[in-house]
Amino acid sequence: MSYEKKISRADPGLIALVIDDSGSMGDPLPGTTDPKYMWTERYAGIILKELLTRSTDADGDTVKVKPRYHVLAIIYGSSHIVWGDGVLDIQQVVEKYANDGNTLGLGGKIGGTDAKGALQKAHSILQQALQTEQFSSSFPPMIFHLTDGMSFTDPSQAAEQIKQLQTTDGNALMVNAFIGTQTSLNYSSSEDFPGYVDAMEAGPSEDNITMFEMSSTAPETIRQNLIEDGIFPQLRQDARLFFDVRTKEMFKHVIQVVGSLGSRADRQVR
Amino acid sequence: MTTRKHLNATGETAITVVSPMAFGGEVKNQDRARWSNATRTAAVADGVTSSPHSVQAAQIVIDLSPMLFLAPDVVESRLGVLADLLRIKRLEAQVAGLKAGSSTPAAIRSMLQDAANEKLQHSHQTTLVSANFVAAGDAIVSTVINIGDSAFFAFGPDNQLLYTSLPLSSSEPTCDNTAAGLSFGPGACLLAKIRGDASEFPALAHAVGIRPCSAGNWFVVTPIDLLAGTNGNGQARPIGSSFCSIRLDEPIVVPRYLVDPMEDAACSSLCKIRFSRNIRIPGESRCFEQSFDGKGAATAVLPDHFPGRAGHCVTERFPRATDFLLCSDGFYSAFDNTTAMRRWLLDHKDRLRDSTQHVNILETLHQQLHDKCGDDDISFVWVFGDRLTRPADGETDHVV
Repeated sequence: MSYEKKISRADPGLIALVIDDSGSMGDPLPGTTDPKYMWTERYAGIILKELLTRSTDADGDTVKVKPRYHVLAIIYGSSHIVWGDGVLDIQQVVEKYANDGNTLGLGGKIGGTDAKGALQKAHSILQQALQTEQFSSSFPPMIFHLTDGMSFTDPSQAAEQIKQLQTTDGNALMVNAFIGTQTSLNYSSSEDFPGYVDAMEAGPSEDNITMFEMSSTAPETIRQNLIEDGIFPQLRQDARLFFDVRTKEMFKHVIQVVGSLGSRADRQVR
Repeated sequence: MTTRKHLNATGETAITVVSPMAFGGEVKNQDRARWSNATRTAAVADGVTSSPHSVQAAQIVIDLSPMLFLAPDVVESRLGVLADLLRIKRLEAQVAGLKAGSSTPAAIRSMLQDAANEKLQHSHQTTLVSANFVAAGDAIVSTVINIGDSAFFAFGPDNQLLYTSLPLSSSEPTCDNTAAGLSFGPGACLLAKIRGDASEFPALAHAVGIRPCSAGNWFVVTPIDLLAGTNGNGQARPIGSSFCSIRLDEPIVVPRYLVDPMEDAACSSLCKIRFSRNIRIPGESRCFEQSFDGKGAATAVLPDHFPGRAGHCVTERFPRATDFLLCSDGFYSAFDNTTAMRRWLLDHKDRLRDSTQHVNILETLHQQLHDKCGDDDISFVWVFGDRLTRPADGETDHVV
């Protein structure tokens, strides 16, 4: 069976954050007065700390980092920037994040939206990483794409190429989070969010349907992790990893999808 | 590869194995196991990796496991005392604190300290599966305590799975009987009419998964009434729960050892049957082979999940020649299902008893687990039911 591998130091989890920092990310998140990039910074910081916590073990009376997660971050607008030197282990990520003043450097300042270019860059780096012994047997990587608007370039093909990347445990997982869009799905919050199983539920917007189809189907391991962690307790089987971000509360839960990676070595307490 | 020690203790009545994780770049060694020959008690505990001092917690529950069963009526309250002891240890650890190592970069020291403080809120967490065995005539009565995803299995003389403590998955069929039936559950006793042994009812035996070679060990009975004990509220429940629903005048199939014939000669065709999950009900699809696929990452633990959930403690009767297995999830996760797990145990029984050969087979098992879903500590206690009816003289305890 696929998507069963535990996250461990020998088979670490690999996460790619592909984050839209175009001008519109400087607009307020619906229902708030703070800009979308600021909420992205807040919640990204929380998830990085969560990954750090999962990578720490007590050794006597001290606590040590045992990197079980590696992160690639690409920030894009009309061009793209690879944050740091590419794929970093979680200690390196948190160190750089702290040295930069606890920020990814977002600001809604990179002009337009070229998602295709950013995803192609992610594909290139991940393709190299998966050929190394470090990641070739790991739980498949997750590419978490966050945007608030449709790209002026078509990212569909790049997303398909990403979904063809694989480890011995399965194909890479493409997650798309669309801030501020409207869909046909009726739900009130993360508590009753059922997930998108059918393209029509993501519609009628053609942009939504495109993002839905770019997204991988959630493997059962991921779905169970999201349910058991209380992130999306009603998530349906065969739901796609496509999320519409309507509120800050939904944003907080959507970004935690990053943490659902893998059959975790540190079993979670119910 | 780091040198690790596989711990293996064997005797006439039980084999106890604890084998730390071998692959994955992690050093764990958080499983502990015990066979107490004097008290006929087995226990396996699996410390949670993300919980500081979980090894200490696993050791504590193993050391104290025999005392859980000393008085039959207070098993759950003694489990509560054990949970409270772990909570006290947690408070002590929080006062003592954890600190970032001296080599930690200054930039992340504060963040790491926050992570350490958060972890101490959940220190001393462990699963526990423990069982006590009492020989009672031609049966063995076992009281089983289970918190978390460590497991208890019972295999009959024909290697058929008689009992599993793991919950049935939500995708498995549930009981077909509707609210018109009686709810029959732990503590309840049924009055029934004996129709004959299952070999006289081949179609029915086949329908409930009894092989022809075993049919002579089962009776077909017709429920007449409930005699005593606690029952459910009359509604059918999923078969993963303790209760099952039965219809009066419709046959069920019962292991021979559960049947108590009436003493009055005038009622010789009648019998009393105490509740057991081993009873087979036609129309109720039971899992006679449990799959280990799709196991989630979540588990309940001591002390956090006690009290609060029903079904921590259950008592069952088994035939004398039953084999019992208590194990951590690292052991059963190496296999696709209970049949494969049972086969592995039988194939390697002699080598497990050998102090040099067991190392090789455990290394191979770790590789198998690593290839399947990632390596882990492996531990189990395998108890041979037919030995339990013999005196406990001269055999030492296993604590590993």
